[in-house]
Amino acid sequence: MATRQQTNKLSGDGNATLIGEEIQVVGRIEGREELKVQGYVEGSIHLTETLVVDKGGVVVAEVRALDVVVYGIVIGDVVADRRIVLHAGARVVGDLKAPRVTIAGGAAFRGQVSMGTTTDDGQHEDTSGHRSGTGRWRGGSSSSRGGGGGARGIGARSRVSRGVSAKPAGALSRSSRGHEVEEPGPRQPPLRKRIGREVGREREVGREREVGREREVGREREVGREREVGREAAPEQVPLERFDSDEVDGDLIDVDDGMITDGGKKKRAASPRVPARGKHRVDHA
Amino acid sequence: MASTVIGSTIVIEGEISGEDSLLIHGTVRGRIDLRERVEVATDGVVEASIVAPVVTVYGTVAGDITADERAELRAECQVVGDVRAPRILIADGAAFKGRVDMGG
Repeated sequence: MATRQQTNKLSGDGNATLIGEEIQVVGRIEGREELKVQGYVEGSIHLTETLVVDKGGVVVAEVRALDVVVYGIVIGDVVADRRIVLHAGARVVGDLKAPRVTIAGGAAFRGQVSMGTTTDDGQHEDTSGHRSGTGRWRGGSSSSRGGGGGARGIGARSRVSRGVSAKPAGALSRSSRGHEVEEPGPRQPPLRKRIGREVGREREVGREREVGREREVGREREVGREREVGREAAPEQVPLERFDSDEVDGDLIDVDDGMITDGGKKKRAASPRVPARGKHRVDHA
Repeated sequence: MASTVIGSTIVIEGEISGEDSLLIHGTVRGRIDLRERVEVATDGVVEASIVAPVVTVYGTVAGDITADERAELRAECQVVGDVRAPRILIADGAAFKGRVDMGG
């Protein structure tokens, strides 16, 4: 397919775009205006405005929009930048991710709710590209897990909000962000340059494990914990900052060389699991 | 009269099928297969093959048009692709390149 281009025309329609009851769309929908679905949409929906799934609407897609209001059926992860509302009669299977989530009485929902903003993930991936390339924290949120969950949002949670825009229908494929390396396999401790003392290390290794698990699986209690440590940029990094405040220089993990350096503190942190000092090279680029 | 409207900032890549009529202001790539009329508005861009009983084009279509009843290429439209329809109207001002097959 040719590269997607967004037309720059203003919508003259006061009417939102409407996909009628008898219409089926299989593929990708992108837009900068409101979309109302009364029919069947399969694939992915990526809007910068509101998506309304009406009573008879069935959306089997990954959804990303500003607001998402559901009266009908949605199967797939839903990511909203502002708000998700499930009205009575809505049936949703999939993860919800938005700063505000409303689930009305009478709605049927199965999935996980994550109330951080989507920018966290996006930002994390962008700014910490080299880091996340190690797959240390993200070891869990890897394609190995993604491969296990063919059904969007049902089962594997690892791809909750990553690369939503470019997902082809029906495949939890690798995010379009190349640096977000999905390394399958066991979680490795992060290559943290600035590690506190042993105590700090223990705490942080433990924290990292929890956060890593949350990344992988996104259980609610860990979501809660994640929220507790604060969702500014890169949730995984925050515990590090907090617990090793005197060591961190404000910048998050700095694995520019992939080696465990800087005083060997990190070496100690890694030692429980990983041989120190360059035994394992991290391909973080 | 179109019950499904694709707004001008919407881009759809994939297949659209159904029993409703369709008015396209945005961009569609892939295939359109409907049992009701399809209208491509002036700002509509369709890079897809269109199969419908009635196809009316005011905008841009790059793809084959197969109409069971009637195909209309109105003024200012741009169509590149084959048109297959028992009745066809190509208005003055339309830009058209392709084959015309009126069945039989």
